[in-house]
Amino acid sequence: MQINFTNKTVLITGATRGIGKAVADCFFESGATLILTGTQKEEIELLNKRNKSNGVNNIEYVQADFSNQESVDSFLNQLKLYEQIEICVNNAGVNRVNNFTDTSTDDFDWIHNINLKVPYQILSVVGPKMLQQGYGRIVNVASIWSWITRPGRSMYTSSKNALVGLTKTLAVEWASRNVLVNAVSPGFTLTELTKTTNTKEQLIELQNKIPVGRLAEPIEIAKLVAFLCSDLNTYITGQNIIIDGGFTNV
Amino acid sequence: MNISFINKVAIVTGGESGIGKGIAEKLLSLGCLVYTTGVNDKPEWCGQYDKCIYTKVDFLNQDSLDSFINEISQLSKIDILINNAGIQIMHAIDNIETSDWDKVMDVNLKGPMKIMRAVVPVMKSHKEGRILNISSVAGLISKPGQSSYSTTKSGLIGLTRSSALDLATFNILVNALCPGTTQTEMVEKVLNVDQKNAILQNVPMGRFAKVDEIANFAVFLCSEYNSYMTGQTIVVDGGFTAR
Ligand SMILES: NC(=O)c1ccc[n+]([C@@H]2O[C@H](COP(=O)([O-])OP(=O)(O)OC[C@H]3O[C@@H](n4cnc5c(N)ncnc54)[C@H](OP(=O)(O)O)[C@@H]3O)[C@@H](O)[C@H]2O)c1
Repeated sequence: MQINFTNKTVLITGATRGIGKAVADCFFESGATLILTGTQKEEIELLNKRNKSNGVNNIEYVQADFSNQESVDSFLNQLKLYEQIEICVNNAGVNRVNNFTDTSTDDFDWIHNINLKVPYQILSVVGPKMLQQGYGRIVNVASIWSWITRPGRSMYTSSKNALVGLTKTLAVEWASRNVLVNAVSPGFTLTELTKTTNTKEQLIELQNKIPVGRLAEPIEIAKLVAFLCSDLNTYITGQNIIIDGGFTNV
Repeated sequence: MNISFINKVAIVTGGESGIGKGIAEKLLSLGCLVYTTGVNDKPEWCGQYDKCIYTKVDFLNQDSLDSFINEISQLSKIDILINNAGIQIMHAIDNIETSDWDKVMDVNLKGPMKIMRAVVPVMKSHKEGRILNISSVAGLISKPGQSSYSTTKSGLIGLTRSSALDLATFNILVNALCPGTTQTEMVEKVLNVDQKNAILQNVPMGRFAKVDEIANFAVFLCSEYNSYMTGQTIVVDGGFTAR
């Protein structure tokens, strides 16, 4: 049973590191043509240069900062030029932890713009292409905080719940056109960022709260995303699939 | 990504036809050794695979079930258990024969628990296992006349959640899969055209699931490509419950 993305053009946002990078690696291995985004101009240029000199011509990195409307507009205009995009993974996301009474409209806008509005805008461009093709697979990366919550997470939880709501509605609207839309909600994932923002002791404490006794590796999340976007999935749509080592069951 | 089950051993209950057969055949085609069961004599399809071992088991007969359980608990290795066998008896709540209720509980809920109880020590000894309970969208939503069926399918979800926690540290992942209406011989037999159309109006994909579509995801969840999802209930229903 094989997962193969040959002849598929795949957009993955926030693919320079963390979960998005693992998803990109997974798709690359299976033959996809990739459009990948990150925020840092120099890094994007470097990655494109490196791929070029290595003879890799099926990856294009695009610089886009979802907190900057100008940058978003220019990215969306670029997206419009693609003739076909079969798969879209809205992965880029941010979090800022604050108790509700300490949050500002600025926090609200920043988180909701990046986690919700830009995915919406991207889907407004990519969705019609998929409908026209009669083929599409969309995965929106939400979070366990779309399902449960904890203090300080009001803005993030709100954005991820909304993303799931968008997912479900698009699934229902587009099912008959063979465009399947799902959300994947990872639990605690051991990205570079997680490693650097937590001390060893904090990581151990976190681990002990997860039934399987460890955090997820980004590649474990990526494999589920890949399955849902592959031709092995032809009937799962409108779901928010939680992958968390049992965390939300406790 | 290449999903393979070479050197793996699976048990799939209720493999005579329908979803169970689909999952069993998929595992077999990917190199798995599969123990499967049914209430009738060995079905023809099973004979086409060297690695298919069929046992006649009636979950309504405790002796029959216990003897199967005894057999599998002797196995030195079990990597995968798929609790798929299930029955449905329709009755409104004010019309339930206790004996009918018991039948549905025995096959759909008590059977899976007994088999899990027997298989888990074997899985624990290898520190590896995948258990998949085939629930139903009827475990999440329902319709008139389904009280016993829905109770057991919701029950399987609870069994899944709790046993996932019991087994999390042993690298044994337990999940439930809820198929929507699936094109099986049973559905063909039970539903007339009008009933089918009535359901289809509410399925955004505009068609029933094919057995293969359920089997693909079942097999993915039981493969090495799933190493972090546990305690989950995943719905494969073409958008039916999202609306
Ligand atoms: N890690 C976890 O434990 C976890 C758990 C549940 C859900 N998630 C979700 O999973 C997704 C990926 O998380 P991650 O942990 O992999 O994150 P990460 O390591 O911080 O990477 C985030 C990615 O998003 C991009 N990004 C950040 N800010 C952006 C902006 N303003 N505009 C456009 N792109 C931006 C980053 O690009 P640059 O690096 O180039 O800036 C990077 O590629 C997010 O949606 C997150 O909410 C993560």
